[in-house]
Amino acid sequence: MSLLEVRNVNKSYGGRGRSSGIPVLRDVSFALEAGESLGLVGESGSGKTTLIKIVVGLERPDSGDVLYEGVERSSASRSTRRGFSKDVQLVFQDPVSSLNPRMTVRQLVEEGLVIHGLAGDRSGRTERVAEVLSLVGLDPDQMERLPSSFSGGQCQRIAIARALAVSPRVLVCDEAVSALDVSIQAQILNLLADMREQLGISLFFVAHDLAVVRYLCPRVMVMSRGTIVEEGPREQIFGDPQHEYTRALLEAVPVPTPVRR
Amino acid sequence: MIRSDGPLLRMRDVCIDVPGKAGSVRLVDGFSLDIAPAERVALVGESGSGKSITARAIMRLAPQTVTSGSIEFDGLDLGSLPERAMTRLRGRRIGMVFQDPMRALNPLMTIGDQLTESLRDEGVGKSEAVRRAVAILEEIGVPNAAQRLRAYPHEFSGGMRQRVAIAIALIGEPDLLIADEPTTALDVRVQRQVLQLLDRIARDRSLAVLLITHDLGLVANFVDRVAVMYAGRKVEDRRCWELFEQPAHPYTQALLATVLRLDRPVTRPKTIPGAPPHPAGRPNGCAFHPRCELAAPECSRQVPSLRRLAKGGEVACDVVGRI
Repeated sequence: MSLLEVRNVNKSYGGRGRSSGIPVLRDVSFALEAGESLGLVGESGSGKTTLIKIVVGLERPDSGDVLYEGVERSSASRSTRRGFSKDVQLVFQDPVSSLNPRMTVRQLVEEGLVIHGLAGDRSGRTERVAEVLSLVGLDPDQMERLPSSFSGGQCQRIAIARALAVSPRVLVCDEAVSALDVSIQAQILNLLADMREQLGISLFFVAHDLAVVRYLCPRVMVMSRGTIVEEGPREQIFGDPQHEYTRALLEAVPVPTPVRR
Repeated sequence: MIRSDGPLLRMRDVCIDVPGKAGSVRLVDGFSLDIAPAERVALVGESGSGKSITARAIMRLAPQTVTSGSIEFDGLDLGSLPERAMTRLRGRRIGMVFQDPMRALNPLMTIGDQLTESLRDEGVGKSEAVRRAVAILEEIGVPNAAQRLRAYPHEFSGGMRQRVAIAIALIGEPDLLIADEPTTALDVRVQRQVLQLLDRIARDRSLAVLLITHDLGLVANFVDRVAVMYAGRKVEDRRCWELFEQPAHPYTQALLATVLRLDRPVTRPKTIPGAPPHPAGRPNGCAFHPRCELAAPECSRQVPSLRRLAKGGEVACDVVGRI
């Protein structure tokens, strides 16, 4: 049994009355195993974000289902769904806009603990906040500060700490490094790789940057116009792509080796 | 027409300050750059490096004023040029393309009106302006150009919008095109099309280009020269292929080492510790020294000046010169 499974998911937007709307996802199925890093690449409009929303439960599919530990979310009880949302945590693209600017780092990281009733009382939670902050390379002594006093890269560390605080089993990353400076991207990528390794969690990493996905994920899916057009080990996707679309995507990536002239 | 013999663009010791909470903040500190006619130069840097402000200062679009230094375009001192003359220069001699075409285009004006606006202001007749608008749209690969003149920006895809923005920048037949992250908002495949288009047009028209970008991979096969900025200063200026083959500044070296490449085996990328400084908190001496592997005690004492390298180009580092 897979840790998380997306089964024949369809989703359309804008349907009203008899019109069925514009299909955004068409019969999408895949499975994520425990401890696995799975990548999803696709261009804007391919349906990546909608798929993420469905995976974490922010949107409901029109048909099909998401299974967590073999249990269908649509028929799960409220408390099961709650456990599900604790176990599947999301890291967004832009840490500066995804963190509430009026909450301190402690409040931000603690919020999930409070909601899910974890880590006991206030002192227990403080201990847990300090623990995850050091895990992601931040100074726990700075937990009373606001996000505005941190750089973009540090804010993304805060967002990752916030996701990790509740001990999730899956970390879903939506373009988690695209908004960061080049010199910071590598830091955050290495942090994610280390977290996955140390904590044994699964990573569902969604991005448009092919090189980034290739580095983090041994298995990669390629999405175009709401369907997964190719799926396989990264050696295949990047070394011997089968689908025409994958080939076109790879060809478009600029090669950073200039010709002498 | 280019009149002077020297460089097309000549920037000397340009400093740009903005008022801050605790006194003025220097965003750009002693920046110099020459661009020859038909030469293509990339200005590469991370956010806060001052690369966009520098580009806007050339067009006098920055709300910040150039505090000191000079900017000359084809022998004209842009600092002392009256506003009317500057307006004529923009669009006519210097074209500009921005990152987000949706924001750069007027949503309430048709593409045709936006294309012909600058020509009509100069007294070009309506039918001649329309003819030129259709011609440039065709050159730039917009299908059904004549009909599309009546369309509004929202009726175009992102890539097509950026093509239209490029067409607007080029319709006045400028000598210099300033492109600020022109492909950053686009998907990879569209990014490549737009870059190929810029490449062809620049070649056909012997256009000088200043490309502002954070993406080193993008510039590799597009520009002749690369200037790297860090914390408001130019730290390296080299021929493009030499920069990639043998970067001189420790920052450039580190930056190239962090780039993940599809043409290399999967390895853990090197990282640069810390983050780029905020302009208000720029470290003393070389601004990169707190993050630099090669930092020596003197690096924190004085700002290294740009030195000429024997093989050509310039670098602002006192340590690498000794190795």
